[in-house]
Amino acid sequence: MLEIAGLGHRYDDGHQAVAGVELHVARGELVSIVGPSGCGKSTLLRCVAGLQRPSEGRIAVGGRPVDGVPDDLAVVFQDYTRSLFPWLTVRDNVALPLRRRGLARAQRREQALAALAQVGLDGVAGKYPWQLSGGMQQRVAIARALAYRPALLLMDEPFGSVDAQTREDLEDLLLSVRGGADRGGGSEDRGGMTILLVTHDIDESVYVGDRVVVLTGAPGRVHSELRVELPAPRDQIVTRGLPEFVKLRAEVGRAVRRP
Amino acid sequence: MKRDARSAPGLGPGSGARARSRARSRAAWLAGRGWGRALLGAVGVCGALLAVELVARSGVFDGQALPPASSVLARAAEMAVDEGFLGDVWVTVSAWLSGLGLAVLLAVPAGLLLGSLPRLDTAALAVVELARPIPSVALIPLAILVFVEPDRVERSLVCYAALWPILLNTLYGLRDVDPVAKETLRAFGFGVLGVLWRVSLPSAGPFVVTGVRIAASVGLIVVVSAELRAGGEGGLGVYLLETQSGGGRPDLMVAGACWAGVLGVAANGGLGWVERKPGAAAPGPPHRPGRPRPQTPDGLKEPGGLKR
Amino acid sequence: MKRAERAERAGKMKHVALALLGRSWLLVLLVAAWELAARRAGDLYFPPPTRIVSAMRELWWSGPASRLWLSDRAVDDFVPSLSHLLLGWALAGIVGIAVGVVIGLSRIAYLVLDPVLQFGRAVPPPTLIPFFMVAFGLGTSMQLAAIVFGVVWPVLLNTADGVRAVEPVQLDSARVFGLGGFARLRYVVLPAAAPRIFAGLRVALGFALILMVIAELMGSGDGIGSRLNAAEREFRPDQLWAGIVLLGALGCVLNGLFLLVERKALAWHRGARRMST
Repeated sequence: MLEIAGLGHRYDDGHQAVAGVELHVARGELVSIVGPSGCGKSTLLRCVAGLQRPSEGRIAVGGRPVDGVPDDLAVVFQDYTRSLFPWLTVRDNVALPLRRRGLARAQRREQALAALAQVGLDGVAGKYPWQLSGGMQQRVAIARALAYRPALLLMDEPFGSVDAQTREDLEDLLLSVRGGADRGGGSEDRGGMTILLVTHDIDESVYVGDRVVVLTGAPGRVHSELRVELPAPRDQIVTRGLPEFVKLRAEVGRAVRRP
Repeated sequence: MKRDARSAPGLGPGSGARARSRARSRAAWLAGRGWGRALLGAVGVCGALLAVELVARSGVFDGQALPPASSVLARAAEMAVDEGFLGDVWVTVSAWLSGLGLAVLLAVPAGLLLGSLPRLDTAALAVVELARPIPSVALIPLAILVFVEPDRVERSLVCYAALWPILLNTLYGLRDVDPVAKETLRAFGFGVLGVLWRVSLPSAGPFVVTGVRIAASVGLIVVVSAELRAGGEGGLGVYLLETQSGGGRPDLMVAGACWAGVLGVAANGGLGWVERKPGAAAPGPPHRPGRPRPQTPDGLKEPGGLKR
Repeated sequence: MKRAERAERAGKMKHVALALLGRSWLLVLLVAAWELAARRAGDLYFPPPTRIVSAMRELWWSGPASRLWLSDRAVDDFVPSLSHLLLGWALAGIVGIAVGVVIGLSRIAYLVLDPVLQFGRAVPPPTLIPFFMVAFGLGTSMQLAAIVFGVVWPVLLNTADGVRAVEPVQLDSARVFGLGGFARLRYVVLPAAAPRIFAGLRVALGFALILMVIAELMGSGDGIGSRLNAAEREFRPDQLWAGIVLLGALGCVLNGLFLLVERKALAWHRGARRMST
């Protein structure tokens, strides 16, 4: 689904954010990318999203090289207060991207409402984002991405600015919609949604990921990869208590701290 | 990451986009340097002059209507050493500045008085808000009847027009004075005047300067308008009007307008500099977060217009 | 229960009345003082307010009730003035927003054009009126040119400023979700810049009134400004005062109407700002 080879990016001011990143993500996989702050996680994500042209290397999404924003891709940004549009209602925020899909107005609204229901936000469709709590706003951002039915979903520290309880709820929401996305319409031959989740929270990377990729600091490069083989369905209390989870967490933690 | 967000490439496929993005990054490199910015600005000025020149010479507008930029510049240069024109400019500037000065002398004490009497403050604001929408140029014919002499007409109108922005900003500035600072001084036994002098005035200072800057640009508009309508011995407006009635040389008129623009830039730049200079006009506390901003006519956040 | 409600409502009304009184007592006092002083002095140049009002009625409000009491003269005066003002304002708005968006979107265009625009803004618009008189003759096009030139700057600079301040994350979101250039402009850039654009348009409306007046004073056959000219020629200070009051009222009304529209269009903005503070 996603191929990254020899990716490097240097900004105009000479700052080298990432260097020599190699990463392959299979269709339907949920890969967590974790690393210390300033290790170029966000740069990596921006390059994959086609928001930024890397100075070296090659990225392909679904076998096609990235040149501009790929078609079947959605992003959930960390900063929900800024990525949602305050002048649109919640429903219109979710429906706006569907213009690209060539749907009629009524269909767009219907899909938007369905996506909102999927994230448990029935009944706030007519409100404005700024009337909702932070966790709910981030749910709207997730609903917007889901309604778009992307093949590849990028999440840039999506739960970074909400409180701990909400964060756990949103993690579980992510795990549940991930399964749900297979059933949602779109092209039938497509497998589940592929998700790339950038986070600085080690627990979170293990808890939601099928695989954890550890980046190390400036310039960011892949330090190690760990496969997460925790039983599904995952549960905030049970899973986090498993010896396997504790062991993985410690391993990721060591990898992050090692220079 | 943020700094690249806007000029990020990827708007179109293929090598064209790549070349475009290279050109963009070169321009961005230029924009990151002080001299580069000056160069780009110079390019814009030259481009604008060239465009006016070409349009004027192409004859899209019939013959005389739009003067070519070169002849406007030539006339403007000649005017700069022409004693007659300089005399006109001086008449305008002196009327402008004296009206402005009078307005400061009237409005600042009035603002201080009204602002420090809480009951009067709201009532005075209501009066001001009602009087302010009257366009000051509407008073020109009345002022001609009342004052007769053109320079008195101009001075009084500039003063009237300049009064409101200064008064309003002084009032807003005083509303904003930190009550803790006032109470602290009171607790140390300073009287009302002492508090006014040591806390209120300094902290309202930046507002007053902004008010004066706005008043200066409004005043320039009013003084020229009054000259155009009231006539008189001399002045920029009189010069322009005489040129217009004496056959109408467009290049001379546009050159005159350009000199008026230079006056405007000078006033705006000078007062804007005072405003930005920390501590000069404002020995008081700097802008507290959440404090109302001075009322600027453009609604622009910063005095320099687009500058950030 | 009922009684408590009534008491509360009465209390509220009392509060409102007191607030109104607190704001307006000085105004009433000043107008009364003016009336008394003007009557006693009998100065021709400073007629009492009642005299001004009667001059206004005589000039503009002596018509039939079916036409809201507007006299023929009122129609002759108001229609050209208002149409010039609104047309010039609208033209300047369109030009200002269009150019402002271009400048706001491109840092390079902004750097290239900034000095030119700053100078253009600093030129006092009335100084160009003699030039416009030669270029366009004495008529509608001269007045429109004066209004458009004077009014375009606040719109343009505010739009550019608003567009430059659009959140990069919002633009990124729009791009990621496949909104093309036009859709981004329509659904993201313009709404995000709308508060600043409205601020510019409101300032421009005030400027437009000033320029309308001065352009009419400089000699054109019709409009409120030429009524002022006539009053000066005929030595009628009361009519001059009537014109001044009328123009002030016009400024108030225009500003009020604009605020009404702005409030409706930017309801989201006020709400969002209330939430964030």
